[in-house]
Amino acid sequence: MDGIKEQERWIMSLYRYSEITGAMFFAKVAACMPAGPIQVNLNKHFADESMHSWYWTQAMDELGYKPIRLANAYQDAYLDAGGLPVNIMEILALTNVFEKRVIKQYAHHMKIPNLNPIIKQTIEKIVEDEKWHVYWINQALKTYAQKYGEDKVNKKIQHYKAADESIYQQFLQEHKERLDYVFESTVFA
Amino acid sequence: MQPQDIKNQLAEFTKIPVERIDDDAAITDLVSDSFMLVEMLLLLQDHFAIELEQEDLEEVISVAQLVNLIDEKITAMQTA
Repeated sequence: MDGIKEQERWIMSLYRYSEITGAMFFAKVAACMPAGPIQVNLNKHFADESMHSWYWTQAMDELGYKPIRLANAYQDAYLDAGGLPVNIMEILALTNVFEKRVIKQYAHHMKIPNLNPIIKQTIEKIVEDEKWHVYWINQALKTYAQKYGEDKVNKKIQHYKAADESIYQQFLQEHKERLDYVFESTVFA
Repeated sequence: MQPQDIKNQLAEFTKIPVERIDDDAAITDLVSDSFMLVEMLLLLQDHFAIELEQEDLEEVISVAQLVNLIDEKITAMQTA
């Protein structure tokens, strides 16, 4: 396997494992939620994450790549850097920040010249769902702002944004050689 | 009675017999991973009709500290 293909295999494995981890997390949160509109959306969110992991598994299979077993998911770093969220508002604030990071990362990936159509279609399908995730979470956070106060919710989002920025920079440093495949020919912002 | 009730809930969630849950044990030792810890905290809040925030848990390491925190939250709810 040449260098580019190995990098492609690694990053697809990372996306796949990140979606699996997201599904497992939201499965637990959805199971704890009392009935209501947030429970419905959380359950759909959990189902989407699970489907996304399936899309990546399927795409890798079509490309002839075996998924790499990774020790850690990208999300693990959030709990270390941002602390454990302990109520639904905090979970949603963290997820809001994380989902935006995911959309940005996929947007970078889409800029790769001559991107394989299988990868392109997989990202397009996933990003549609991710946009809905950001939308429903923003709506839910507005309702939590009535309960906790807008200031408290915004502070929590800012807290996780700061954590996200440091995690992402660390991630880029740690995996620089592997990520060159994504960023070499794209504008990094 | 309240602290015992809280420990009973910890036992029910973790499936560890309550008499084997040591007050000095780290709460992270009761669960296999951080996702399970989040789940346990959400269920405790739901069961006792209280609300925890990230800041509340900053100093909480042991089972006894968690039980005290929840006990205080329940008392505050009852007296509010």
